[in-house]
Amino acid sequence: MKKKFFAVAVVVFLIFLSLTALLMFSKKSETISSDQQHVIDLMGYPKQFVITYVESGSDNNPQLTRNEIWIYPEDGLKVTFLGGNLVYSDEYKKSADIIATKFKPEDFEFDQTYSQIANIIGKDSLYEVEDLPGITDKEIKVYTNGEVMFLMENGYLTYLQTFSYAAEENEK
Amino acid sequence: MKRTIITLTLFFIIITTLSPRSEARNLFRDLFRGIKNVSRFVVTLPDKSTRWMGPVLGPIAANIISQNLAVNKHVGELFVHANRINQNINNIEEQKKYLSQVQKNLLNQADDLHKQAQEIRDLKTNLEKNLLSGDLSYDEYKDKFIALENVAGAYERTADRFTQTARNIKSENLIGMIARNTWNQTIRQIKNEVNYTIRSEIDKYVNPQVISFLVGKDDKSLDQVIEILATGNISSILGQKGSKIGSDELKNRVAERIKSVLEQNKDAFKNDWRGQINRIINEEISKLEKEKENLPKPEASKGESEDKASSGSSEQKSDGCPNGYVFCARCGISCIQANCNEVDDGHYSYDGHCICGSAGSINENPDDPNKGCYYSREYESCPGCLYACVHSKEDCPLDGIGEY
Repeated sequence: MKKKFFAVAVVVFLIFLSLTALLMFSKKSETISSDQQHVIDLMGYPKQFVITYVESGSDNNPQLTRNEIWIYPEDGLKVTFLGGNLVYSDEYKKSADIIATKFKPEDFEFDQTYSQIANIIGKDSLYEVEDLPGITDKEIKVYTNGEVMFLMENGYLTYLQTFSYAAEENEK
Repeated sequence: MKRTIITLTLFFIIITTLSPRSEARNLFRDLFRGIKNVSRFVVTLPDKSTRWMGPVLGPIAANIISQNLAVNKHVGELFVHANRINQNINNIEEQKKYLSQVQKNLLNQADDLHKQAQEIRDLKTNLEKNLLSGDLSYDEYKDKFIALENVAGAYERTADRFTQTARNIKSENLIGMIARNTWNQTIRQIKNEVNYTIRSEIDKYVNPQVISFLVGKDDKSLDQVIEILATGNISSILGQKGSKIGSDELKNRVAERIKSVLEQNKDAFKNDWRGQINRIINEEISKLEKEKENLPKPEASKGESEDKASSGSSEQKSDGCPNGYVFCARCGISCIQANCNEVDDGHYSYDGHCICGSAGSINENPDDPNKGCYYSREYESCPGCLYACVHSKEDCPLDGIGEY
């Protein structure tokens, strides 16, 4: 009886182990698309960037597509990627001196948790922004530490923007 | 048996410590919620019932936060919980007055957004016409329809939020907002940000390149990447030079040059790509301007136009319009080309200009004869008149270049 119990336990354990390994390693891990690599080769990483996810697909196959805007203030250029593809470039007029962010777009992903993002950007001085006009849904949370701002919807990252302006010295 | 279990347990511990444990937790979370990463760039959702507001609300929040950062670098002091009382508001009458104004502002903004959503929905009517006339395939129509619907939906959702906020706002919330002293500025910011975001969304969805992406992906290569990057430079250089060269013609020529250079040397643009692109652009501008100067003047007989837009004769100097034009009080421009509709594929734009094919519309099709061929301004019979419509790579019949 004991032997049978152990045998069943081992089988269950192996199944669990296989499932975990399968999930861990089946996730696609491409971090940069070929278009993005071309742009990095030509211009380096962006000084600032915005990441968001726009609705796409169809009713039968609803999807969110990653949309990134990379900003190069010295070049006066702003480039837009949709789903990793470079789709648009536009003139960028900077309104203040911009310091390069230390983060890279590939540091952040849709399914990161708040804790994971906080570990990346630093937990110190990170706090939730409350009472923003127009945001009343309790499932939507906005966080910032003054350098990065991000929005979590239903526990998923759907918007992130870097701030890298030279800080004003005046205090109100 | 014990040894086996111990071995398997040790193996499991090693596996879980090699990869971040939170990664496994994320994957299980996503699995149970039916969310799957097709790739890093596309996420498949279980259903369409959840509306994702990141693209709309994110810029709003970012704008407010960044504006406050410019004022006070100690961000933590700026966002006070709404329940704190502002000592500057001392009487009930003042509170009521501000409350009423705030609610009114919010409801007005909601109205504006609802109207814009309706305008976007009206655009879909044009899509249907194009489908029925055969200008669009069903797949193209479906994708564009969904894209426009998404944008209209974003407007509606934001408008509903403003309405809801206006209804739910209480005196203590109001006091908190006024204490931050940003209310009027915030309203303007919100409106500008929503407009900017939605315009950006529209640009993305109606841009032929993006629509092409949505319908079926094209492989990109380095030359196409550089071509897209060059597009941003073209507008800025043309603006600086004050040139009257058509930007589309210029883009075509620059793209051809880029491809030609890259065919000979794939790494040609890796050093100082911007300087090289600008050099190509300036060279092509010079060539186009020289060609334009050498454009031969057409014979006078080809320029005589017939009045089809109004009941007047072709001689319109009495109404202040030049030869070949007639006065149109209800048009965007006062003088319109009289014979525009007689030019093959020529037609009036919404503001009265005579243009070709589907040029400039949201359904612009690059395969249409969108390139306009115009007489010079010195041509007395019909100065600046459209006389032919050709495809983008064709030359104008009089060996001139077209303005778009």
